[in-house]
Amino acid sequence: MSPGEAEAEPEAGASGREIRCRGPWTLALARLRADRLAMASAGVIVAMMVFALSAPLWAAWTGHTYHSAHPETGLDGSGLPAGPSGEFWLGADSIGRDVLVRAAYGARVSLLVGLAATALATVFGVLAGVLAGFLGGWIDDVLARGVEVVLSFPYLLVAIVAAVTFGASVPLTVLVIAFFAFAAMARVVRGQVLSIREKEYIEAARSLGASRSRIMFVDVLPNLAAPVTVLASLLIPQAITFEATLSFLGAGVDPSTPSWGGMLDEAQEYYRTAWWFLLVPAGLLLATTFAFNILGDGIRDAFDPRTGRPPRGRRRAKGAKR
Amino acid sequence: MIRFIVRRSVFGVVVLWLVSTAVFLLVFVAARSPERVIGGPRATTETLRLIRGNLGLDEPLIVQYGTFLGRLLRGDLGRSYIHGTPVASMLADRLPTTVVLVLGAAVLWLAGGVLTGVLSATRARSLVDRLATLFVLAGLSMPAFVVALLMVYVLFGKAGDAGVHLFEPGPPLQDDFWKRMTLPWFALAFLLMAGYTRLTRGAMLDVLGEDYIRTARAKGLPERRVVYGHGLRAALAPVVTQFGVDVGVLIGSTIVIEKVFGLQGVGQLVVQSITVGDAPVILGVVLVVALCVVVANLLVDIAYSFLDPRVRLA
Repeated sequence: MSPGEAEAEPEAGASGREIRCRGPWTLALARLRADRLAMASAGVIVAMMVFALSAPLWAAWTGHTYHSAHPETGLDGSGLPAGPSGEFWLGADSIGRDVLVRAAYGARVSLLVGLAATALATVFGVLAGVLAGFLGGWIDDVLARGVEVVLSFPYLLVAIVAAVTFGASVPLTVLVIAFFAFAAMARVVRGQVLSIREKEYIEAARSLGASRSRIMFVDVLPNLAAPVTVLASLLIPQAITFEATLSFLGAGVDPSTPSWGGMLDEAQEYYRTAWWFLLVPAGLLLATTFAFNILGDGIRDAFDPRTGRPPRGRRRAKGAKR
Repeated sequence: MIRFIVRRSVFGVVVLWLVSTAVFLLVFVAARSPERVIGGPRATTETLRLIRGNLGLDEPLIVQYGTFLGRLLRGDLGRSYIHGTPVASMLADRLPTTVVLVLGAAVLWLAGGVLTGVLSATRARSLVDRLATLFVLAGLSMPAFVVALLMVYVLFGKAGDAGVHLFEPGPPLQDDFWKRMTLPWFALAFLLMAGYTRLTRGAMLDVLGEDYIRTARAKGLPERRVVYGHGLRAALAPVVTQFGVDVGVLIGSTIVIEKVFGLQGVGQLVVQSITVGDAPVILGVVLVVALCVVVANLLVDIAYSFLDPRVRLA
């Protein structure tokens, strides 16, 4: 690596260049750090999280809560939303509420749903995938068929029906999204486990007398970390998109909670008169999902450098190989 | 082959049964009481009791479920609580709009996606490839309704009044057919195209590295025939799989596009029914969509074996 890192080690070898053992995670992290696009996306994601966490601060600064309507200042003479000004930094919505403050609270919902649903789906998907792939037999049959069934559900419709039946809320949205993401995760993990199971080191572990649960958790699980990390990072933007779509249709989070999808639903009728009302939530939503997708792609390339974009500075000569 | 089709069909029927049972439980059992929906807010207790009796809602759950399945097997989807019309005929009214929307978009996204994918694979790491990658990421990141809203904003946000009436719900599809469908087609196609570009690119890169491609080149075949005749044919197999799955799923996902562009398709029907609690209509739509998904998957499996003779239909 860079000379600076070698110097950081006190007991460097006689040659002045120390040879260190670097595991796949260290290597992947180093590759990811060199990927400027992925790092920029990580920056966007961190900024979005700060924006979400500071929602109460925005409310305090502007003096507008997310639900307080200010018809006297937020609406113009003809009752249309007022544009960005010193009073409303990013304009007001159709009943004179502060778009900036609502967008900040909406960021909380989007990020919370995206991360919570993905975390749930990952934990249960990995567990189910490992059990099915490793144990095989009837457990595998049930899981494989079950996943196929779940994936052939018209999921948007099922989500809407569930929201209407039980009432739209954040926990329900998380559960519904996690349920469908779980199937995707379980399928990928099962496939990986099926191939890992046949590896020599599993054979070795078994011949040493390791129990099945030990092999599963000590030998198989760590080898799933890379594909699971990649898939999880790509599931987050999907979950965020799904939540926004549900809220846009009025079947996501409770309508009294500000969310980007809900704001876009309200803004739909005002696209000619109040561009900020439409473009602020749309822009934030796109920036967030875009950043998560680029970061996910970057993570995948970092774990498996053979795919995807070439590393900077080592671009292949033109026409060298088709 | 026959055995394969039979086995897949049986599995499809099982899926349909599970979907219908799940939705039956959700809509009929857990939902708010349908007699309120039918009777309206001012109905007397006596009226409500009568309605419950007529619908068979006082029967034990298992009996209700049996009646429901029996009717379903005879192809009877029941009647709408609100309009009293048969659900089947309501679906027949709305399905054409949605099918036209999905098929039109499908032509666009399949042609566009495969073409960009091939271009980007044969010119790997060139400017075209990089632009295509960016476009793929954009398409995968954007929720359908945001794309649709932005399209409307960009095209009509500043213009006078032209265009507004295009997006108001109501007028039958035949009026201004091309004018009204073009934008929805492109909005839907844009989102789906991205996935196909990525899929085709990946598959083409794999296939073009195969030995038989080198053989074809060594024989002196023109590059175009190598790429499109030998390469694309094999690379299409995963694309076709995805296509079948997407067409089925999309019938349900057009809800959002229909809402933004005011098209009266199945998606709008189900949203309207959900808001008023019209359980039989919701169930009917979900079943038809599930049927589309199952049939699409079956067709894909069969098409797969034609495209890639190595696949055995065991």
